Amino acid sequence: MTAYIFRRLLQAIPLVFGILTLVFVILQVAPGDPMAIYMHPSVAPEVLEQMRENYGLDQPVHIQYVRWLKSFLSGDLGTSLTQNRPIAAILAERIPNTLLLSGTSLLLIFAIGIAIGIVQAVRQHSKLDHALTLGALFIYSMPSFWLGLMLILILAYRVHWVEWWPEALKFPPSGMDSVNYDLLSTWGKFTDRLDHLVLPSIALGVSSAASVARYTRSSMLEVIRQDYIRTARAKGLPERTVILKHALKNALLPIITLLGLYLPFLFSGAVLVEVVFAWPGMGRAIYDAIQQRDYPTVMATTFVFAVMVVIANLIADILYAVVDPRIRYERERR
Amino acid sequence: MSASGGNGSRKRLSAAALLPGLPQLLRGQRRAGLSLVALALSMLAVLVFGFDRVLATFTVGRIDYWVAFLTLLAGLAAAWWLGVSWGRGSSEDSAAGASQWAIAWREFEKNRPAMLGLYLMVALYLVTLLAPYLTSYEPSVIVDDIMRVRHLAPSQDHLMGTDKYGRDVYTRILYGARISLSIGFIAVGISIALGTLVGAVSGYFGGVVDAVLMRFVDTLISFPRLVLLITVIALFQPSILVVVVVLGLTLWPSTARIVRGEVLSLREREFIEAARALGLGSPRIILRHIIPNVLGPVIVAATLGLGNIILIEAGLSFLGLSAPPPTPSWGNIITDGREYLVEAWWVSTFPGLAIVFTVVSFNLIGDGLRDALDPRLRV
Repeated sequence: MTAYIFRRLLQAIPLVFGILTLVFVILQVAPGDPMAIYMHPSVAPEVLEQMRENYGLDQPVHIQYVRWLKSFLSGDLGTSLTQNRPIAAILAERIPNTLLLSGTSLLLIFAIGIAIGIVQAVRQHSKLDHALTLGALFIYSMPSFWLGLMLILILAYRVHWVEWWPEALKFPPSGMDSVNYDLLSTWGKFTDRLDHLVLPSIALGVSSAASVARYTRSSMLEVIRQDYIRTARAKGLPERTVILKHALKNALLPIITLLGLYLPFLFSGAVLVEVVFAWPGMGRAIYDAIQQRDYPTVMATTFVFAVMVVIANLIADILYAVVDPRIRYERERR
Repeated sequence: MSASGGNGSRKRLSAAALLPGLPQLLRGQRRAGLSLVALALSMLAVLVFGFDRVLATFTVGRIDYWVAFLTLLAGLAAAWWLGVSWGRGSSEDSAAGASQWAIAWREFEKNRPAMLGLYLMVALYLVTLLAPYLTSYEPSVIVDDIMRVRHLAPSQDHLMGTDKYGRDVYTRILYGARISLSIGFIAVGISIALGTLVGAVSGYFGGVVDAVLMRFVDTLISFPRLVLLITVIALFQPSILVVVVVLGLTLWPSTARIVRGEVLSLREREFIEAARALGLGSPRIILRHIIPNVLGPVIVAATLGLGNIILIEAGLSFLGLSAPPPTPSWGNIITDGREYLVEAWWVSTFPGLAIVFTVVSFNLIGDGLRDALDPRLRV
């Protein structure tokens, strides 16, 4: 097992290099002078030259590349042009927020997706099954940012006009916490944060949940047909136990691989959803940086996003190997 | 087919001239008949209700009016021509003589959701091409005093209301379809062509070539798509051209992976061995013998990718990184409405619905194609 994890880690290294190189190439190919934002009639050309030298922009490309690699690998992501502080510090504030949002979404995706998938598989070809398939098709085809806006419109504003609507189902339209957040008790803080999480995590996750449901359904249908399930039924186990204990375990195996597959997708969606809900995460950071033409921040955030995907894939692969001994064995022999 | 010579033929001709699809309906071919009737009636409706718009084609002289005019003519011609010729002497081909594509089409035809998707798609493209005839407003022109026409709720005059500048939302969605659909189409074209080529080369040659190309693909796939896209597009000033090219150049890796997987197994087959034994060069083997055999999965990936790209483009233009402002696109209409979401819900809601229906129809077609083109599922 250790050998497998180790090998998998080794495979990730060239990937990180590839990502760094690609980001560097994009920066080099892009038109425009990185010094352009400092150009101003009141700034002397000598000062610009000096700054160019300070940033190492007068060096040949390959030296710039090596420097870039060195600084990124040592955790120095450069300085934000607009906030005048290290990008690493800015991102350190933002990453937990994005992880919180996508983590909640991920939980939601798998909980809802698997539950619906099981129901569909157990009641295959029923009216309920068809209705859920149709619903999933529509949800799967929805842009997350639009769904977010609709959720805000209905569940944060319109419901206030409805008298009988329960207070607990009215949600805040944006932000991460209420104005009085700092004054709340620990429990109050927790529920307040949770309240703010509901709409964005639904907007972000619901389309992936639809596709998890689809995968669970087909994987469950495959498992249910197998002999050991018939055996379990034959020895008189209640249907509930057969499905939830015997079938589900094996049906869930392939679903774990989806975890790694959805993360890049989820992060993409996070950019849009964070903009819609004014959620102060990395997606919001990269959007603001683009609006302000703060390119070093844009590039660093892109890099961090990609590295997070690599790490997530690593975790998903290792999880898969832990759960399914066959994979471990096969891959170790190769 | 039936011996409909002389008298019968003349009767059918006159029935077809009266209304295309009528002879098909009389013969019991309901699907062909109904679709022809629908096509003919909708074209006639456009001609009758939008008659002054059609006449305006000759005075305005804008290219989109001419495109709409040609579409109208082509639609009418197709309806009547098909009305006469459809279902005559065909559909009698035995299974032995049918090509692979004909078999796939027959499978596809039986799939009702997929056919629904196909009809939706055809309707969507017709509407897009006919846009100037379907509305009496212009997408980016403010007609009246802005304070009187802004944020009007949906009504008979403005089917989907007006936005903060008093522009008709329905008109903007019609014209926006053009941007969303054509960007999607071209970008999918680029990414499919590139992905197929890279995948085929990678799978066919194997070894170092494969390793290098696939590591590159892995790297590209590690970036969250939208993040990579907004980064690159932001660096090169957003314009429609940049968006199309960048979308095309960043979305090919998944196709490359699919194609490579297929080619890996094709490579070992006898007919490739035979081609090699004949002394054919690698480019010829790849282009003439390998690529035609992976077209099935590629077409499926393209249709599903089309829906996906429309979603991504909508996201980009929502962030202001696609077609620049006065030009409507579904994403930026939603952005326009976002500020006044509560006061004027219609501005953001309707373009979103347009996106959902478009993507649903592409997904339905894609699923249908997958079932039709995969012989393993056919047994």
